Amino acid sequence: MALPAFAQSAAFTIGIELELQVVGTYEYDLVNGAADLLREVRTKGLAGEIKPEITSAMIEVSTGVCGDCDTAAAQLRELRQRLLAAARKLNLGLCGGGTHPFQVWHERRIVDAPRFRQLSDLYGYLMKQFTVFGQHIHLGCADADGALRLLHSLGRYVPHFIALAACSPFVQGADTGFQSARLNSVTAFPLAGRAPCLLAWREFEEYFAKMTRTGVVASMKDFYWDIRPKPEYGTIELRVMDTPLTLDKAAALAGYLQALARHLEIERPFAPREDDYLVYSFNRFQASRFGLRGTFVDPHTGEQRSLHDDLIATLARVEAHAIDARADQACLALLRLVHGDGSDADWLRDRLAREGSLSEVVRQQCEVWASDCPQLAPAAVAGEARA
Amino acid sequence: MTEPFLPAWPPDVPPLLWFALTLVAAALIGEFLFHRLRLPRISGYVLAGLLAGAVGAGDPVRAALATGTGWASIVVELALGVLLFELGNRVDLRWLRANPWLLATSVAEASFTFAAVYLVLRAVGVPLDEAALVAAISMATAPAIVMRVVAEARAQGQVSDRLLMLAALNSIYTILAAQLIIGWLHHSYRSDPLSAVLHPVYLIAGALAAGALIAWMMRGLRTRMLLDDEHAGAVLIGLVLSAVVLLKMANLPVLLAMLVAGLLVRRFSGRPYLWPKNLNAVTGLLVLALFVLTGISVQLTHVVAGGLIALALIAVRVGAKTAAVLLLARPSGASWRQGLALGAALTPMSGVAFVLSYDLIAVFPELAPRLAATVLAMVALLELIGPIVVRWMLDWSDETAEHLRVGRSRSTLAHDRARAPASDQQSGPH
Repeated sequence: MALPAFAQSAAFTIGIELELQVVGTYEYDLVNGAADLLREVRTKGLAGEIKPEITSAMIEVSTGVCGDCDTAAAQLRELRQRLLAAARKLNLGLCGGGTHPFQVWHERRIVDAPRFRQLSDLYGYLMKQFTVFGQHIHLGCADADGALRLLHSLGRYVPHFIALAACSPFVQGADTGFQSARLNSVTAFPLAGRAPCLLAWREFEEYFAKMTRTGVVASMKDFYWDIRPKPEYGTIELRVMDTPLTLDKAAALAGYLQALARHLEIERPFAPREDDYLVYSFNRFQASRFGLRGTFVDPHTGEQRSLHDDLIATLARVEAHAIDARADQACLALLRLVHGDGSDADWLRDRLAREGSLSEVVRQQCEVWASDCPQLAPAAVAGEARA
Repeated sequence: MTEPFLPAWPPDVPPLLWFALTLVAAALIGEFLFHRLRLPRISGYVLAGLLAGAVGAGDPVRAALATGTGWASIVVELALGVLLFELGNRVDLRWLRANPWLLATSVAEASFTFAAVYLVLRAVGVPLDEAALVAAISMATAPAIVMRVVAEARAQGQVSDRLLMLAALNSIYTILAAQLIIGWLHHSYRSDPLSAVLHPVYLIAGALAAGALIAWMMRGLRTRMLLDDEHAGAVLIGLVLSAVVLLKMANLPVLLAMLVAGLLVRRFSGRPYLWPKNLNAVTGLLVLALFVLTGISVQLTHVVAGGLIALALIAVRVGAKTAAVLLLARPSGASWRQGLALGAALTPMSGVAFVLSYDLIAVFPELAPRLAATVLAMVALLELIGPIVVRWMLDWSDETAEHLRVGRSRSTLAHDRARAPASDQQSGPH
């Protein structure tokens, strides 16, 4: 199958996809409720979409094409409201988070759809293990070559997004020590990693033709790269983030991406090269293991600093572009979050330390998901709920 | 020559030995049914009980049950007390507030059942009060059966959740209705208007108060003593046993109080209150004893005397429940298939009906022949077939765990046995 032509799309527009957890309200374990939710949810007049995912305890919401992060947030809120109405009727709960803290992968069920069955046959237990919940952000690009250039320039900032969104410290009932253990599930796939450093769309088409000729891939969807071009939409898709605990943070991350993209496209601070990827795996690992406290190696200068410092410096540098993208409030909130050194993963650990029960932690995750959180840190919300 | 240290010959075999042997046989039959035929274990237990009853073990058990205070009654009520408490704990009343159509479904299926059974009995000439009594008892779905079959199948989904909810609710309706009818019977059999009013009030208010007290104590112990799951199990069983004995001393309905207690424990906090995992072995044993006993106590003469009437009542009961649930399936958020499966899965009758019948016979022996011919006959049949129907409905609506579905390869059984009953994975940070 040939690579589709890169579609026309408005530059710097965004679309957000969130994978949500479907839990029961007795034990707050994952339950196979996606099919029932899809049947009962009212989708009339919705700006976004609600879709099933690979296993039946996951459900995906996606916004339409949005000009700024506030529009995306509003669409996400409407999607949330419709889903919660259906969930309440069905005695189900919904929450964010990159992994479910204590679900057991072999209890999951693959949804009965041709592509999912195909994937399950090919990847075996990896597919059930892939019951992880991520956020994908689509970014519109004006042309194909520009899209590739942006894709490779953004590679340097992937650790930012990993650390900011990280909220999967628990897997199968144990603390992994990671801020984002979800990424380990993604990395398990043979076609995970990053795109080859090609900056011309024509070269990329040739690469794709070679890969399909060998039979290794059939379509773009078979690549599990951290950033992936989506020619059908005319976008690049950033796929490294865990689903945050609040949709406000999800929208804020999209705003930051817009500001960053503007900065990279308009100012062109550096030309992306293959050598930039020498430190990529290290930085990525540091971000998923230590979050904001992780080490970041600058690919251009070789300098080492903490991710915390690099984020603060970057947020300062893109401030003007954030204003242009109408994402200044979002970036300000993210800046405050970084200064406070808080992360969703730390919040989850803190909750477990206080409550002593992972079921209760998931119940609170559901409460946090259902409420609005402009300061992006759930501590305040959950504190009020407990009182 | 006498050998005084040797045991007497011929041996004086106590009935307890036969009961113990029956338990072993029942457990074996149950495992055979579950692993080889993918049928619920409970049907195996009932079958073993029926066979034991057929070879003559029935009389001492029936005698013990008839007195209402014998060992058999204590075992049955303890087992049901624990199971109903667990059911109350499992069910979330707040769902009814979020989904009023579900409450409507519950009221509809109970009322349709009552009406259908009542009309059939009146049509064959049964007196009004006895017809009402049997109709009231028929509303209940056996809580023990549905809970165990759902747990055994590791089933999850709308049918499983709704089945447990509806079983809890219609058990409450039945017990309440039975208490009210007791009042009425005092009036009609004993011309005692004072008891006619006071007795039901005492029973209902007493059960609610006792249930609230038990729930409050459970909650208090749990939070104050910071019990972890293992020790919570022992405390819980001890508390339930004490509660059952005290309730019997106070002549209060044990089953209603325990069900109310289970419901209220969750009510007192939004926090998940998980049934302690290590209790599954204990409740498994109680279920075994319960169904063997109810199986043994079946008299074949009852079933024959009941005969066609019992079968007719079973049929109209299934029809009424299925019709009601189907009617309200879509408004309450279930699919047609789920509605149909749910309606059929409400078929089993057992413990609650059984206990109520014996309680009533103890107070009003005049009722014995009628109740035996109808309710006990229905119970005898539905105990055996009911669990199978529930399991088939769970399979049909695709809610049974994948590795337990019929047709799965035997190799997955090793995986199933390796896991402790009902998810052991929370032994970590929990």
